[in-house]
Formats: sequence, C-alpha cells, structure tokens
Amino acid sequence: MLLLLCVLLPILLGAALPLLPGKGPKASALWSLTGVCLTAALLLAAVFSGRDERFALFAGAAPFCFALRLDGAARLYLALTAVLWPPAVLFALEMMRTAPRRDAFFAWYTAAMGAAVLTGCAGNLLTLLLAFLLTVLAGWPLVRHMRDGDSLKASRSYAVCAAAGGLLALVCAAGFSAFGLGDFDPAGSGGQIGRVPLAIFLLAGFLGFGMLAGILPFSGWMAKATLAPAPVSALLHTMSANAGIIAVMRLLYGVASPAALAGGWLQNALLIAAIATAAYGEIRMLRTPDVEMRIAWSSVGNFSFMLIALSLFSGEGLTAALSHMLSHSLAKAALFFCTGIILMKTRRVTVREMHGIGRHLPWTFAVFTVAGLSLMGMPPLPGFVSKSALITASFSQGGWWQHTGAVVMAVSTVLTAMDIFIVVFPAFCMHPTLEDGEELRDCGAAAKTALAVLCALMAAASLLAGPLTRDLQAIGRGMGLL
Amino acid sequence: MEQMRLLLPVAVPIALGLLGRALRVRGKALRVYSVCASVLGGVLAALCALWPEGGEMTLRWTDMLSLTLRVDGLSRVYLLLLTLLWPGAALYAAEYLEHSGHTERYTLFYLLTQGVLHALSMSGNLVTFYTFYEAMTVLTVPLVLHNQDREAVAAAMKYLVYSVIGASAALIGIFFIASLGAPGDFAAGVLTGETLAGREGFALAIFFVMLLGFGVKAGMFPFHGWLPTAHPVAPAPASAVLSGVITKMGVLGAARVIYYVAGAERLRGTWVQSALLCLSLITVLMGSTMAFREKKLKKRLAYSSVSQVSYVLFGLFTMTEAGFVGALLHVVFHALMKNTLFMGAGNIIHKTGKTEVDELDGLGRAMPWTYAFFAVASLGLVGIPPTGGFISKWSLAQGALATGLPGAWIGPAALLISAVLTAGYLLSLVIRGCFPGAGTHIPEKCEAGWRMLLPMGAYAVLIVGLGVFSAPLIRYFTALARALM
Repeated sequence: MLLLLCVLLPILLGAALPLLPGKGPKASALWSLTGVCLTAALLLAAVFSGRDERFALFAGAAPFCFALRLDGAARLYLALTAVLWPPAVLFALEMMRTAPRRDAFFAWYTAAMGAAVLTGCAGNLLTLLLAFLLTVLAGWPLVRHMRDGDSLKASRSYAVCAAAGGLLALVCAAGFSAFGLGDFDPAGSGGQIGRVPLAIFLLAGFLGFGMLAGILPFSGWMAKATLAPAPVSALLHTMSANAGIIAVMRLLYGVASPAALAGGWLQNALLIAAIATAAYGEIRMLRTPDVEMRIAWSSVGNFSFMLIALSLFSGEGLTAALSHMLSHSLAKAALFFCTGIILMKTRRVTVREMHGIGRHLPWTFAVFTVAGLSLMGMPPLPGFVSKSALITASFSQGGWWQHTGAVVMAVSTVLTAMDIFIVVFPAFCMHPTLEDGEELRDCGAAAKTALAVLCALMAAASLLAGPLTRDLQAIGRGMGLL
Repeated sequence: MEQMRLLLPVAVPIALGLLGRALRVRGKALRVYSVCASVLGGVLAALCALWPEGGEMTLRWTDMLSLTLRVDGLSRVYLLLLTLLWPGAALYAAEYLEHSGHTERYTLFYLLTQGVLHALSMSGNLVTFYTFYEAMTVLTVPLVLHNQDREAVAAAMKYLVYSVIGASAALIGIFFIASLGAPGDFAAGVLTGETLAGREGFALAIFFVMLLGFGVKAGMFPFHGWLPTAHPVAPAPASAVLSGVITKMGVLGAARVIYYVAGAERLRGTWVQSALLCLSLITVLMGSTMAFREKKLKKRLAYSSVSQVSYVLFGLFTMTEAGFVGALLHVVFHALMKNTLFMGAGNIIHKTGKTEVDELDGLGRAMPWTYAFFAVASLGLVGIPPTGGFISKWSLAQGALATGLPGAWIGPAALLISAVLTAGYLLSLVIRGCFPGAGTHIPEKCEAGWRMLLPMGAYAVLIVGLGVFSAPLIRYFTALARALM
C-alpha cells in the first residue's frame, strides 16, 4: 500500500496545486517542494524497509491487472527518484521565479514524480505501459511550457516520438500479455510464445520503451527538448529517460528470458540498434555549437551505453547498466543545472560565447567541471566506476558486436572529454567579451544548494562504490543471473 | 598502518600545495614556500625509495577496482629521479617567475603534480596507474597555459586532446584485461596462456593499442604533434619538467605494459614488436630532423625530446636485457640533460628575451656559466664519452643488435644518424655562442642568478659524474631486467 501511496501522492498534490486559493509568488514552488520531499521520504522508507512487496488491483482479470512490486531494481530506481527530485524542484524554484504560469509548471513537475515512481515499481507490462503514458503525459506540457516558437517545436517533436513509441510499446505490452507473459517473473508466467512473435514484440518494446531513452529513430526529441526550461531538460534527461531504461530492463530480463536470447541474432539486432544510436549521439554532440544541446546529445550516447549493457544478457551487463544509470543521472542533472544557470545569468549558449565567464560564475563552472569529468569517466568520480563496469562487461562476452560496443564506449571517453574541456578551459582562462554595463553573477542560494546536494551525492556514490556495486550484483542474482 | 608511509610522498606535496593556496602565501614567502615544500616532498619520496623492504598498500574500491601503491625496482628509479628533478625546477622557477603573474596558481599545480607523480611511480596496478595518469594530465594543463594568451590556450587544448586520446587507448586495454579476470597487477606474468585462451590475436592488438596510447605522452609518431606545440609555450621550468619528467611517465606506462602485464615473451617476435620498433625509429629520425630545421630555440629542444624519448621507447621495444638497461639509463640521463637544456634556454629568454637561434651569436661570452652547463648537456645528448649519454646509447645499440631480428642493424644506424643531427642542432648553438667569429657584436654581461644556475650546475655534474661512475646504475638496472626476463 505504501507503494500505491507513493504513486498517488505526488499526482494528487500536483493536481491540487492550481486549486489552492490566494498564493504568493513562491507558494507553488514551496508546495511542490514539500510534496516532493514528503514523497521522497516515503519512498526511502519503502526502499530501506527491506521487504519485497507486491500489490495488485483487479488481480482476477490477470494478465490485464494493475500490479506493483518492489524488488532490487525497483529499489534502485526509486531511491534515485527520491534523491533527485527534491534538488530538481529546488533548482526550479530559482529558475522559474519570473516564468509565467508557475502553478501549472509545478503541478506537472510534481505529478511527473508519480509517473516515475509507477515506472519503477510496475509489476507487469500493462502497468508499465500506463507508467510510460503518464510519463509522457506529464512531460509534454512541461516541454511546451514557455509557449514560444522553440518550445512548441520541441513539444511537437516530443509528441510525435511519444505517439510512435507509445504505439510500439502498446504492441509489445498487449502482445506479451495476450500470450500470458506480461508479469515480470519468467519463472511464474506459464505462457509459451513462438520465435517470430517473440522477435516482433521484443523489438517493438525495445524501440517503444527505448524512445524515452532516445534510441534511434527517436533521438531527435532529446536534443530539441533542451529548448524547454532547464529543470525540464534535467528531468527528461535523467529520470524520464531512466524510466525508458528500466522499462527495457523489465522487458529483456523480466518478460523474455535472458538465457534464451543470449548469443542469438536477436541479441545482435538489439546491440546494433544501441551501438548505432551511441555512435550517432556522440557524432551529433561534436557537431553542435550549443553547449546545452551538446550535453543533450551526449545523453543519447550514454543511454545507448546502458542499452548495450542490457543487451548483453549477463549479470555483469545488468549491473553495469544500473550502475551507469546512477552515475549518469547525477552528472547529467548537475550539467543541466549548470547550463540552465549560465543561460539565465548570462544569456550565453554557444561554446564560443562562454569564453572567460568561468571566473564570473565560479561555483557553476566548478560543478560543471566535476560533473563533466564524471561523465567522461575520470577516476575517482562515479562515472569511472560505471564506465569500467560497462566496458569490462562488454569485453567479457567476446562477441564481435560486444567488442565493438566496448570500443565505442571507450572512444566516447575522448569525445566527452573534448566536449567538456572545450567549454571549461576557455571559460576559466580567456577574457570574456562583456557588453556595456553587463555584470555577470553566479547563481542564488537555492540553485547553489541544489548543486551542492548533487555534488554530495556524487561524492557518496564514489566513496560507497564498493557496497553499491555489491547491491547491484545482488539485483542480478535476484533475477537468476551471475 | 606501517604501510601508510607510502602515502606520505603523495599526500604531503598535495596538502602543502592546497595549504599554500588556502593561506594565500604570496611574493617572496611563496617562493621560499614552494622550494621548501617540493624539497620536503622529494625527501619523502627518496625515503620511500630507499626504505629497504619496499612496501605495498591497497585500497579496495569495488570488487573489480582497487588502488594499489607498491614500491618495486622500477618505482625506486622513478622516485629517485623525481627527487633529483622536481625540487631543482622549483628553485629555478623561484627566480624565473619572480616577475611573472599567477605564481600562486603555478605553485599550487606544481606541488599537486609532484604528489601525483610520486603516486604514479608507485602505482601497483593498471587502474591506479590510469587514475594518476589522468590526474597528471589535467594538473599539468595549467602549467602549459601559464601565459594565458591565445597561443597558450590553444596549445593546452591540443595537449589535453592528445593526452586524453592516449589515455583512453590505454583504458581499452585495462578493461580488456579486467574482463579476462586477470588482476592487472604489475607483477611479471599476470596473464597466463589460459586466461587468454582463444583470444591471443585480439590481445596482441589490444597491447598494441595500449602501447600506442602510452606512446602519446612520450611523443611517439604518429601522436607526437602536441609535444612541440605544448612544451615551448610553457614557462621554462615547466617546459623542463614537461619534457624531462612527464614524457617519462608515458615511458613508465609502456614499460609496465610490456614487462609487467603482457610479459616480454608474449610480445617478442610478434608484429606488435616490429610495428613499434619501426614507429619508434621513425620518431627518432623525424624528431632529430625537425629539430635540426627548427629556428625557435625552445621548439628545437621540444623536437629533440620527441626524438630522444623515442630512443627510450626503442630500447623498451627491443625486449632484450641490454635494451631495457639502455632505456632506463636514457630515462635518467635524458631527464637530466633535457632539464638542463630547457633551463639554459630559459636563462637566455629571461635575460635577453631572444627566442630565435640565429640571434644568439656571441651570447656565450655574456652568459659563460649558462653556456658551460648547456654545452655539457649538449655533449651528453649527442652521446660523447664520458657523459652519461654515451653509456645509455651504447647499451641501446647493443640491445638492438641482441634482438636477432632481420635488419637489426637498422636500429644502431638510425641512432647514429640521429646523433649526428643532434650534434648539428645543439653543438652549433654552443659554438656560435662561444666563438662567434670576428666582427660579431658581443652583448654585455647578463648572467642569470644563482637560483637558476645552481640546478643546472648540479645536473651538469650528475651528467658527467653518473656517466663516469655508471657501474652501480648498470648493475641495478641489469638485475631489474634479469628479474623480468
């Protein structure tokens, strides 16, 4: 029941927000912050209670029922939701201070947390599909929030991709459920399925749910979504895209049986799709002048790394994907916070325009550097731990495409490093061109606190890498791998 | 707890660097502080190196990744070398940077780098090595872009990009070895035939990529392009240690991969060895030729480093005892000689502002000590007895002949040609400086101060002294080589 409460609470609080009478300028943000913190506390209580929970509505109509379950992977995702949402709202509090329609913004932003929670603890494919729809439904108004030309363009792209992805996900969910394979428990579901329907439904689900993580051909919206306010980009590129990864993980490890897929052509097809997306994202990253959009393209690459690791169908691959989900979320959220601050405080977007402004925004650029180095995989930051897990897992399987994936991931280290350094070094070393009377200031207290929280989380993830990795391996064992 | 002493040479310079920054030490106090701090760091490193039982400490990070510091034979060589070089360049910088800006930042990063280099010398496995290798790259960038003009920033970016490419090439190998379940520890023979079963060919390609990657820092063709750009734009003391010391860390990586991880037996006689030997010889000749043609003094010295560090790599790639000994000797002697040469160039630039080699005629009369030390180092680099350069090159040539490969004579021949070119680009400078010929304008006396001359003089003495009394060094290196092969 605690799980259901965690799903419903943010949605209800978000829905109630516009109804509250007579508010000051900060009221909606504070309401949202309170609600999110409350949900986060409940989530952490559920995560650390240590019990595997199950909950089902309409169980009689199985497989068409609403099911929630809490297992190892769900715990990780929910814990991540719990620690990322409060700093994101705190950051939004500063960013959206002068924006129009704050009520609506914070309502959707709060409600999106409910969708994320539902994704994490969905117990069967149909519930997961519902979570997917809720995630998209909450994301769309956030993307078009500013209602200017750019936002509307971005929201159209998002809507088209979401519709196509949703259809594919529907095919997958309905198909597997019809064969009695909808539950995330290969041992318990008794359904049988032929090879051809398996391939069709699996690929549909991989692409459909993978849309949230920006898999080809659904990569474009991820870059365009950066035209939305910074807190929204941060959300879409961390928790919303993580939802896609969790969904694909459920599909590959909960519905299909990893042992049967490993080594077959279907595995190669999944690997190729993910590798192609990774290469595409990394190349687009280097060809874009806009810093925020470069970071967005790097997301496309990084989520594909997780998809590559998931497509390995090994315990190591699963561990690596989840580990990278964790480290990438922290780094990427921090990076989007920083670009958001830079845009708000200096109105600068391209690499060239940022020359010399590092000294005027020292906190922002310090965090940008640390987060960027983590994303690149610089030891001892958490990104190195996850990237080492990713590459080692790919190498240890020994197939041709697995090796290609490992090399692509190693090369991405160079590309990400170039991406980060080309911003950071000129920003700190060169002299800025300031317009008359222009004065550059660093961010305010709320955003600084949000950045500090993320840095503390990165430090914790690095220091606790050992125990964390063991927990992740336990997730793999829980699924019968390793 | 007893092993915590290994942390001292790493932690103390880093802590002192940060402390100096936190206390906002400035001006004269900062100059004294930086010299004292780096001397202290160097003494701690030397103590670690000379401590009889070596030592090892491990910090388990995750099940797969652990950070290990261990003092073995090769670590001792590097630690002692750092003790000789790092404080000397600090003393030099105290005078050279006296009237330059940003000395606080320079001191901070100089001391941080010292700690990281000590850690790199003691790294006991690949993950630790990679960790500190990347740290070294990032921390030395501020030394390169010290002047903060457009040229320096561009050079620093180039340095970074090349270095990161090299490090990630090494990274591929580190994770490949990890995926085999081998620990990646620097102990001869960690990779057995069983762990590699069925993937020998792929493993060879991986080792090649790793060695190319570490070769980037050592300026090996085709990834040498950053070196002649980045080293000259740094201030002279930084150029000295970048060329003399930092390039040797790439060499250390290559030595660790060949002799400690892959095992020389596995690579000997394979295409990997042939390809690397070719690349290193190409670099030797190309570097010398480019140095010969270069008119800017510091850039000439940088090209010379490209060539000379590849001598070392060549020695390692021969995978023979004599080659290994020659390589280590040349690590020591080239570090001493190149530091002296860059410091000499720094003296000239500092006192006269001249950067082109054609402007230096007759300058030897004005700066006799600078030119004397410069001449000793030049003779050493050419390889003229009794300097150390002769001993190391002799050993390298022997190593090349001992490989038994077809065309083994090409190695010594290339070394000889390169030595002639070296004489051409260095001794001509000395001769034109000291014996300018009739009718040349002799500049007024403008010798550098004692803080700039003292380290140069000390190194010049060592170049000759260690060359004459080289037996203990050769014995030590030979014992090291025997243990590995």
